[in-house]
Amino acid sequence: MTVLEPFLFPFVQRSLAEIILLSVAAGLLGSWVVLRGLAFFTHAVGHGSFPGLVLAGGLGLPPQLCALVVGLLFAGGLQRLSRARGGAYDVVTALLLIGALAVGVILASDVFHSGSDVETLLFGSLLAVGAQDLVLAGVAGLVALAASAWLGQAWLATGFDPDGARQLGLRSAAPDALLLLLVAVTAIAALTAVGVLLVAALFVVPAATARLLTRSLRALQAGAVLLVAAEGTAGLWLSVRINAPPGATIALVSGVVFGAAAALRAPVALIVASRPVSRGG
Amino acid sequence: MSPADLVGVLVEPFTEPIVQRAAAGVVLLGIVGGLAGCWVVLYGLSYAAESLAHGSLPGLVVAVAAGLPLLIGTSGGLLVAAAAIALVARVPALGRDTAVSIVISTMLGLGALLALAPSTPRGLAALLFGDVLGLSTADLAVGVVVAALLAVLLAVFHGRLLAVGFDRETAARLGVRPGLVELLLLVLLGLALVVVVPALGNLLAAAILIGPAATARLVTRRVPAMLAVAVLLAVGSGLAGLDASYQLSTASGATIAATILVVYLLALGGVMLRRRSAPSAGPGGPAVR
Repeated sequence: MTVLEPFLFPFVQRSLAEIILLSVAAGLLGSWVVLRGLAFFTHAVGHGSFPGLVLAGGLGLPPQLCALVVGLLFAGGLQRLSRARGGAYDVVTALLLIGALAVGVILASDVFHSGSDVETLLFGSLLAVGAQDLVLAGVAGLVALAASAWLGQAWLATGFDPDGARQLGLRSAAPDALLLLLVAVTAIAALTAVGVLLVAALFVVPAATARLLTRSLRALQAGAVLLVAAEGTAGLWLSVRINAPPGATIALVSGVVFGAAAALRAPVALIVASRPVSRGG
Repeated sequence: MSPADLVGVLVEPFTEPIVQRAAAGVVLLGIVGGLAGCWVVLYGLSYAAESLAHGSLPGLVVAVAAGLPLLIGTSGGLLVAAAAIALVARVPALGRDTAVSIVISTMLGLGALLALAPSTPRGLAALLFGDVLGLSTADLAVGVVVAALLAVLLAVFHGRLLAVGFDRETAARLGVRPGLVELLLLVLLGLALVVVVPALGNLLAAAILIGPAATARLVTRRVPAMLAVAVLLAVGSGLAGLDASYQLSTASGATIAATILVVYLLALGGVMLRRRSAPSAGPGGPAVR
């Protein structure tokens, strides 16, 4: 097999198009996920839609629709319950996401007998990407672009200083709710590609890598989009070569890139920090 | 059906030797999970508990492929995951949640790759979702030792855990070193997970740590009472889940996790209803901290 041969298969080309389209939404919103500390929420929404996907597979319904409905119900329930408890956000999130996994497993193994499909749902599949996935990813990208341009200032202001933003008259609740909604919807658009367990590989890790390398918001967003596209492409290639689910390979590639960036950055930071000292001496 | 018949039906699964062994395992899980879980909840470590359990997947898979006991794989995987999270969390500009998320998605990806390699024998599903009915005598023996060790350590360090958990700064002035106590708690969490992960799987393990403790926290504010309630709830919902999984022939680990969640949601609903009917907090009022 020559190096580029995997990309000659039509199903791989479709997956590649899916990843490139997803990179817009994942990179832009991923930057906000990292800046606003929404990693656990993203993780939870991915897990939360798992029973929806199992249900869709068992009943022959469109998977994106079921994942969307169940994922949004989950995200809404999460917000509602965590606000009611005031401060127990991480407990409620952890329990609800484990609950979603448990319900999904019971449905898959004992109601629908979905068998090995469960692994496909958990870690993604190259073959599962269809035309509607591409449309969904494209729409998610456009919405993310529009929302980032329109609401970026509000997200930035509440992110740095929620109390100050409120005093300045920015009503912080609506833009924030919209950010959570957008993250949930676009994460669900990514499920067929990377699976329910590894949404963070697209939405958290590349943006965190870009965050290591730049302090400017524009550069962070551009870098995150490019990293999602590049790591997704590399992960897909690896996934075809070693016959593994793409979610797993993309997660591994983006984790290794993050590790390399962090390792490279550490000596640079040390040199920068020590420069004044060496000049003075 | 008379009450006696009902009891007969409910007790019937426990006459099977394989269910008796699983029940012994569940009791151990309940003790370990309930005790360690209270401190996990009090210290706000729920995300860490959930993720560390996820992060042990590559270790588990390597142990299965190499024919080593799951115990060694779990502890190895936990150590690597904990060290990686500690390292990434030190990177400035990234929060702890982000660090946890990066490490866990990488570990899960690696674990899935290893598990789906042709040379790996056991199914990935059993590692992800556990196998309560497949616990060996060695697993149970390890469970007894870990439960005893955990109980002793928690009793010895109870005062220090309490002091740091409620007021870090005062505790530091009183001569307790908060950093060391937090490290100790992570070690205890790791110990508990070593017992829980092989039984409930690395995706569901955190249920028995967080669920009963969070429910106990809703019912009582006193720590000793919370520990007792959490252990009782963990053992009780574990056995009820095991019974239900036998009666309905559903996956045992998932049924136990679902039972724990249902108990928590019922308690939460009860608390919310009581707050709403109380005259001081009307509907739409500010959340009570």
